[in-house]
Amino acid sequence: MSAPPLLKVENLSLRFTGKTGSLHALSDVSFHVEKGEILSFVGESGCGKSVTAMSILRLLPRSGVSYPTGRILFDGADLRTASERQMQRIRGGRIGMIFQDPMTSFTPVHTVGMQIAETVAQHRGVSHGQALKRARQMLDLVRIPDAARRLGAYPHELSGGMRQRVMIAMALACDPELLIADEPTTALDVTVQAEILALIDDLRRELGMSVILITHDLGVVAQVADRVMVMYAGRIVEEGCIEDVLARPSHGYTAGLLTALPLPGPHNHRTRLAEIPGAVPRLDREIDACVYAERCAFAEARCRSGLPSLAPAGASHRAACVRADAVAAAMAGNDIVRAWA
Amino acid sequence: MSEIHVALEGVGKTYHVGGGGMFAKARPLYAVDDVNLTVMRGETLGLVGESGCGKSTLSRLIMHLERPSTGRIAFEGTDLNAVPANALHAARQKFQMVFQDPYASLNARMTARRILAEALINYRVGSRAAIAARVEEIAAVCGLQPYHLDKYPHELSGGQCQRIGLARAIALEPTLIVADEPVSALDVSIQAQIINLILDLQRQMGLTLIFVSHDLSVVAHIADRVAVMYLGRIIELAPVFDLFAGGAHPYTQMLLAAAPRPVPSARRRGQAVAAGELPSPLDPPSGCHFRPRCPFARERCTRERPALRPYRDGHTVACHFAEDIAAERT
Amino acid sequence: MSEIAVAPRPLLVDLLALALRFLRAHREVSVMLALIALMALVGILAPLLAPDPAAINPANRLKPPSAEHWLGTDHLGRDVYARLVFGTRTSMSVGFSVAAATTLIGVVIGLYAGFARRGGAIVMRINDAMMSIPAVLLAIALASLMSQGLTAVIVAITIPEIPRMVRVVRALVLGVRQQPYIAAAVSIGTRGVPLVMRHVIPNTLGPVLVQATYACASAIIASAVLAFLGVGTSPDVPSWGGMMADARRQFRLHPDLMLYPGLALSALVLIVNILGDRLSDAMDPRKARRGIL
Repeated sequence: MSAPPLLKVENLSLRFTGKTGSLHALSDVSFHVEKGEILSFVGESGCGKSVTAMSILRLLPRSGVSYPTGRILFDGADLRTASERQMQRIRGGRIGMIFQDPMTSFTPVHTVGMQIAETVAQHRGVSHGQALKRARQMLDLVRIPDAARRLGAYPHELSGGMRQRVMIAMALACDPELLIADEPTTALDVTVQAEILALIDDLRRELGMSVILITHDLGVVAQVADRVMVMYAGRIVEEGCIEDVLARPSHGYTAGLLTALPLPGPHNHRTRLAEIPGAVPRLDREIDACVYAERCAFAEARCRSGLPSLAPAGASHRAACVRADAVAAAMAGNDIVRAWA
Repeated sequence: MSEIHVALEGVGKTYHVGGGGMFAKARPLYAVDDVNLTVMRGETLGLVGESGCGKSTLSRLIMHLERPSTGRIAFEGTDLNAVPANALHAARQKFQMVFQDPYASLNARMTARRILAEALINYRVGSRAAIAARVEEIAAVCGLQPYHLDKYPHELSGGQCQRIGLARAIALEPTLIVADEPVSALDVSIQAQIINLILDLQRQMGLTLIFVSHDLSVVAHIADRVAVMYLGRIIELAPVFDLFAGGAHPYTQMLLAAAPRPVPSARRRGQAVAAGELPSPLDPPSGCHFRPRCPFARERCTRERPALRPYRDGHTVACHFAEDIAAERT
Repeated sequence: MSEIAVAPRPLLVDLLALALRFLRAHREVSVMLALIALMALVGILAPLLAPDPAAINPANRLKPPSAEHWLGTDHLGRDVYARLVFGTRTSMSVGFSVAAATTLIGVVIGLYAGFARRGGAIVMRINDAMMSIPAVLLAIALASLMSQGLTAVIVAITIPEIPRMVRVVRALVLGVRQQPYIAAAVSIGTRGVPLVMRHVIPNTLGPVLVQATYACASAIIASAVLAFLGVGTSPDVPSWGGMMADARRQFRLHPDLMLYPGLALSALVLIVNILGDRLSDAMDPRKARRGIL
């Protein structure tokens, strides 16, 4: 791990400004992605995980969006100040992306082969024939049976799982160094989800690329991620190696997410689940206290008086919680935590 | 627990798709195919399966929102598809439904108060004042504040909308609730709130609950018995712990293996767990529908449709070779 | 918290409250509606705003604008300004009557087509057949079959407009019927007319209103075409189409006689069309905030 990280985001803050006021969508988000690793963003809707990904790709509209602070260093170059032309080369070229709904990424009027080939031709400047050959290879790579015939299929003719594979094929066609996958399996059935996750995991091994996997499902995270970044209300609340975070959850919110999950076993059956009371805070102003304090089972007076910074909570593990030790101690009896310890 | 609440006998629902045009011939789609099922009073039956397996159609049939093409559904002993419309209308009070999408299941043009009052007005339960009081009462039971009642659905959060959906379902004091993916659209922390609410309501009112979900961990938590569906058929029906200890049907086993769980043993890096695509429901394979994806399939599976047969105590399975497979696994 | 709030309020009260909320949120729509109201006011107050539009004065033919005749006179010496102002009445009453009649009849037939399986198919085939005839042609044929008069014109234009509305309403009804809130309403025992009035109609209203504005705009043009061709309305009734027909003969020497009614017609149609456009934007759930109309 002595090599510089592929992606390094530093102190990124993002504000949406509209007629009715502004929204602090991201506050001081810093993280990095190593070469060849899967980093997972987890959190509930509105926590900023998708917005972070969109910021990296610069896919947010220009009007109404401002970045008071922060740099996004991709292979050393700041994407925030890159020109739109540079970004066009990077998007779909060096950074591939897949989304929850594959239909939105395809044109319904062209065959999938054409669409993959076009991406390749655009980024590589190769002939149409070569691009089509590449498309065929890609469909093989994502284990689509009978790839030659599928090249001529239209998006609507494919099943959901198949479409998601084709989208992965398209995202990988230009050998990206980083793949950003935003809830890639949320709309899929569990058996298809398992296949797609295994596929993403295999491919990053074969191709040596890095992956940012955005999900709300801790099960998905535990299955494939190397590192996990828990987000809440536009901030990173806990971050670290998956083994460390799940063996020693050190933030009240991570603890809340874990205890809210239904667990198997007769002693858990039909018991009341631990609820997280209240709702996500409004982000229309700067919060200079722990963003989770109002809902936290571990909160003390000092949680409401100052902003906790991300502090080491283990070997490769940081948490923004002044009660980290108390949380970890209280969670030691949790079934999931015990399984990881 | 011993009294039969709903009994399904050979229930099937066939849709005809692709027709309608002048030249295309409609093809039959067996959304639900020969389902036999009894639900006991007070129990929680989980219904799991992947998209297109017929679990939603089955819940609509039980709710009498659609008529079965074959078979009969006896609700508290009466086949409500064979009675006059007014008798069905009267019986509807007894069974209610909770839907997946908290917003789409509420009419966006009505306030929460009107949504909740509608059921009570339909069945004229008491005076206007009595209805108004009852609306506030059921809202409170479902954890809603009085000021929520004067809001439109889009002014409320997903969790609050689902609480309204639940309040509407219990307004007429039903005996059966069919919950079709009631927590799938919600965030984890809200999911816990709604599951708790469902458990509380069920205990207080002694409800029978049919809980439909693709999320196995939720079903494992809440259900007493679980039915697994595949391409319109129930392929396994078992007490919850028997099923989640590793089902008898290869499809159940595949589902359980594929479900993401936040435990280290679930980390199966690089190895594919599930095989094959779901076949088209318009052209299902002969014999056992699961045959093309089944690692244990033999010649008999092509020829003969496996019936749902007793496997162990209270545990039925539709697989010719369940015992052999179990022996092979150990 | 009173009982009034719980009782099913009449649809109208509900709609009014909804409309008010909607207007506050969408300024462009309100501006267009205000402009239309202004033109309607001109039409209503025509006798106060202008002299007699039918007064013939052969000695004063084809005069340029003056203090007495603000926009000059036509080939019979009639005041052009007065005819323009009174013409507003014809255009607007035809436009809005057609829009109202089309909506009313179209919604009823469309609801039937959306709910009845077999009957619906028959209605749609008849609908398709009617839509294959050009609307203006059909209107001309119908108008020439009937006696002269405004009502005849309105009927003649309404009939070809109905199939379009039926098609829109049926598609909407088919969509709404699939919505979970309909299944929910059926589950709690709502059926028949209350189901349609409470759940179906309010949720189809947006696109229907938009279609109504398009019907209105095309009816205004169609009425001008009929008047221009001299079908339906008597030449004595001032109308913009009629004015343009009269101006045809003097077009070389007095193009302004064509210009005024032409401009008025374009302006009104434009306003109505913009209204329809903005309405459809405002009511598009993907563009507007969820839930408002």
